[in-house]
Amino acid sequence: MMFGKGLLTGLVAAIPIFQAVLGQEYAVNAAKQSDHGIIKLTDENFEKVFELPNKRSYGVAILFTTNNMDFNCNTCVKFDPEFELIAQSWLQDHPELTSNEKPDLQLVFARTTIDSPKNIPAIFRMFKLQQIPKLLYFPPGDDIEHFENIDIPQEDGVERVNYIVNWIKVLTGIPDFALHEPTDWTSLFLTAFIVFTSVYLFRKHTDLILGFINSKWIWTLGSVIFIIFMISGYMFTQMRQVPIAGSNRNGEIIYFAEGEFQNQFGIETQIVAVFYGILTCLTLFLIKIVPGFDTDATVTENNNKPNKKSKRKNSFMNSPYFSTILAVSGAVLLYSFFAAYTNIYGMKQAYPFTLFKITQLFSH
Amino acid sequence: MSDVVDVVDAAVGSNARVNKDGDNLTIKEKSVAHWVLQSLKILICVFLVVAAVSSRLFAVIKFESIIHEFDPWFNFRATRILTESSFYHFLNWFDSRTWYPLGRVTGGTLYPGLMATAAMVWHGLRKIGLPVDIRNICVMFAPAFSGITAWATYKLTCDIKDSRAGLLAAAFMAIVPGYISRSVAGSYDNEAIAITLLMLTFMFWIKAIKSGSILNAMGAALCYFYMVSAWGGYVFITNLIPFHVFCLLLMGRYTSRIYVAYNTWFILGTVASMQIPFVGFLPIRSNDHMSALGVFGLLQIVALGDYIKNKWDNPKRFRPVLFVSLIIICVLGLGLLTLATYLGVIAPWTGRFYSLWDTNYAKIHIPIIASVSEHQPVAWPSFFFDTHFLIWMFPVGVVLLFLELKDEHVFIIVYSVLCSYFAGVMVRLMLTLTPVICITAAVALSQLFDVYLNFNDLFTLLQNNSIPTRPTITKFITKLIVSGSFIFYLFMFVYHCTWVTQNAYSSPSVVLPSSTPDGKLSLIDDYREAYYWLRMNTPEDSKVAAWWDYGYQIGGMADRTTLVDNNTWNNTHIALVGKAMASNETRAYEILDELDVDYVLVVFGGVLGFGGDDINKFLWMIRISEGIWPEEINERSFFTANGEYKVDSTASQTMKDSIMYKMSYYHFPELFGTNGGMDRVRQQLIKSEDVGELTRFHEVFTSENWMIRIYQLNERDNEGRDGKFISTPVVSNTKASTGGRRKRHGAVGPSDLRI
Repeated sequence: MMFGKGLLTGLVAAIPIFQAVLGQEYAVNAAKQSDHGIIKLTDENFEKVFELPNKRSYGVAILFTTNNMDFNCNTCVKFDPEFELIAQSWLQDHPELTSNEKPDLQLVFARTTIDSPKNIPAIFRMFKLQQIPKLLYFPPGDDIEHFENIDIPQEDGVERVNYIVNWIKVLTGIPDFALHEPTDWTSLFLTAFIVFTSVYLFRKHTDLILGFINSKWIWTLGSVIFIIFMISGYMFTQMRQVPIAGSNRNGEIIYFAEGEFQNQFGIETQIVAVFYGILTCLTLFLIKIVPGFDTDATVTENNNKPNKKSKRKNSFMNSPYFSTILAVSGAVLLYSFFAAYTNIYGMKQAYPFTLFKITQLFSH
Repeated sequence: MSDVVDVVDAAVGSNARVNKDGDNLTIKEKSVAHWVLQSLKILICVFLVVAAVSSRLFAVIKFESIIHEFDPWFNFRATRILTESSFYHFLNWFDSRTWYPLGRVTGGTLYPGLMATAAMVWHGLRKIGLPVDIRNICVMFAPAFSGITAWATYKLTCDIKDSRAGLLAAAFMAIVPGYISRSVAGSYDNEAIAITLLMLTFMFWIKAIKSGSILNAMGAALCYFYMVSAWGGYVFITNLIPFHVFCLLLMGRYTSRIYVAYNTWFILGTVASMQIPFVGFLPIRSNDHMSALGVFGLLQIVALGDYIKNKWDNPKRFRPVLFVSLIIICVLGLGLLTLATYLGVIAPWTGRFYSLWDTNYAKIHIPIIASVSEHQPVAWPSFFFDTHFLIWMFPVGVVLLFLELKDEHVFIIVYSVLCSYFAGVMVRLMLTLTPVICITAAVALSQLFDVYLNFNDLFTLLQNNSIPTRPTITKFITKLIVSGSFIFYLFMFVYHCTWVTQNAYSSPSVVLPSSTPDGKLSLIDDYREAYYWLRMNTPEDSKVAAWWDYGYQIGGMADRTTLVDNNTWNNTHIALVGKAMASNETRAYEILDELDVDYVLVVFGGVLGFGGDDINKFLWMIRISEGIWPEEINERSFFTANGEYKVDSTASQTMKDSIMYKMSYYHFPELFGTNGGMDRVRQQLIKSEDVGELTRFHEVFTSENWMIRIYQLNERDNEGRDGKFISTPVVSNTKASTGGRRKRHGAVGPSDLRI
């Protein structure tokens, strides 16, 4: 009897231990068997992964994200492979998901995704998530109340991955967590291919390519396009990784960050660059092309080309009014584009010198 | 200023006319025309200088004759020391009143050009019996030099196109906001003189390249030396001129003129620049200067090759020789360069230079560079703001220069392409882009006016007393319309420049403009109030801990010893101050006490709505100190659980414990009553239980609008226990009895900050 009671007590005491072991087996096994060592977390396996209601001996890092394009979540899509890289690096060095230097520390990665907007898993509501992607870390223990939010920076790339790995190291206390970047064979092959092709093409068409490189027009066009992009804030969009466009409160797309003098969207650079291009072309048209149509040779000593004039047979193009029409329409177009430009500028800053738009004449 | 543009336009017209009709005039008429033209040019130049100077005086008229911002305060202090002692004493100056307790070898780590020039002007004026206060010379320094810049731009553009373009370029340069931003009265900074020297160097360089004259190349070298002595940005010239020569060589345009000009400039300029203590042997060791050295070597080889080629009877046999020697030279040169870098003979690339090419470099490796607002990229509105319609005339000018493509045009093109990139990456480099925008836009505009402001045929007809035909009149009207529209843009340009200068670039940032509720202008003068309080109420040798932004001002205005200042040479020391600010009271007291600090100064904008205060800069302090002590300071712990940077009740405990938080908000909620006070910058409610009490520091001074708050460390008692055990702080001066805080009078109401 005494023995039986003892056995029973022992059994009762052993149950949680068994459970713990089994549960742990579940999470660790699940992680090991999944791709990149990331458990796919759903409402069903949620309790198993968290090993509720027992005390779990491992920490869990969960990524809440989506792969549905309806959410229009750019960061989610870009962060997914990076998260896989982090989990993969962890699994690669630690097949048992246990730290080598501190064997009592264990870490499991999990990910839960929203597959369609209509069917949002209950886990998302459970943690009252306002936005995705969200990376939460649950330290070992028996509750799911205490967790840490791991900040996901906006800019993607190796820096972001390193940043997150460092956070995880701080939060878990695991010292040996190294990142293993896979060799990027695609870019390697691509580079080799491009080098090979260009060398081959150069050997085969040396004269053509040299002529291309020596062409003044190529350089002119290249320099001017480069300059125009630089003065349209291209480097700002690159360095700040600004979104291409924004949206207002009603969800409508807006192309200009109104009232923000020191900020801009990506598309603003393109719009402004087009404006600069048009204004440049029109001014050049006035300076270089219009005088060529001038019938009076004495007026423009630099620019008239008598041999060209004889080629023009059309009587209208020979008439003195043709160059007038060209010049006046050039000036009017120039004015209207500049006026439009200043009005766009007026959106960025309270500006007293916006020019009068010609279109306003007809709008009343 | 608008009349100046009128005069320019008139000159352009008359100039064109005289040139054209020159053939039909007698010699006497020609000399009269020449005389009229010359005096017109001089008159316009004088007008331009007047316009340049007067548009920079808004700051003096609106505020007063006062030194602006931060860096100028150091330059001012250094200039004062230079005028009080000799030049050699100045070069050997060791400043023990900054970077306490390290001190700074100031004489060897500054660019003395600016101070030396100002001191020379001061001495010169005294010699002729005009004892002007050195402060007034410093305040008026930048406007005076901007006049010279306009003249140099005129000369430079004359060599690029002609005097018509030159006058336009000078007019643009005189009033363009992109340059005014750094040269208003009171902005006594290195850039004020540097842009003048930049234009002078380029002017001489273009002349030298065109003529191959040693004299002009020497002029370029001398101006380059002056530039090196005045501004760290001289590296721009050091790389641009070699790059120009390199491009010319690539284009197969080697001539003996280039050889003479470059060698003269390089040898004289390099040897001269090494005389500056701060530069020393950098020109032959640092990689920034390697391109100049490399092009120098290349030029010798090209000259040799050219010589051999001329001696060789059969040019075809020369090709393999050229080919083999090219390869050998390349391999040898690269190998030597790598070896020298590896052995440490050549200094590695400097961080600031790196951050220009790899735009993410600074953010990761050097937070202190990234934290400077001058080093941020530029969004598109800034370009228009700084140059108005010149920004789209700029590409036009580049295309027109490409069409001619003389040697000097290559220089302007190279300058435009490189600098437009630099300006996009770093906002302060807008300053170096502005001159080339002015030059190219002037070239484009004067070409346009050459076509459309040319009324020769009409005048010829009128002279002959014949009746103009209908096509002639049509043409006249066309020209009027086109040139009229551009003259209209010029008018808008003048208005725009005046408006920008007046509103954006004329605030000294030491005194802030604001308006009272009834719309009257009132000045917020908290900085000077606080610095003056420090000067008058603290012992002369007391040490003030503040974030580095205010170091120069404390040194210049309050004349007290600082721990860190705007010469950010020692990152660890700055991080130490950041760490003290981010630590809790006990730890901060330990750190500050070890550093012998007596007072702590924080800038707080919550009452006024001033966004540039220390709480907003706090994250940089945390980041910089985390870079050195990651185990003690952790950026993450200053954020709320949701990862937000907050200061209200939801702020993290670490945030609330930090002395920066406590010192900023100490007794702030009580100002508004029992419900807590609203921080007007961050729009968050601060409650008194969040702020808590200060036990190891006590408040000694708070300025009128609470912008500056100064605290004193409690003294240790005679048993060496820290200040916590001293019950009531012993405050001797009158103002400080209630902590020196002044209640704001309800009747006046809060004044709104207008920046």
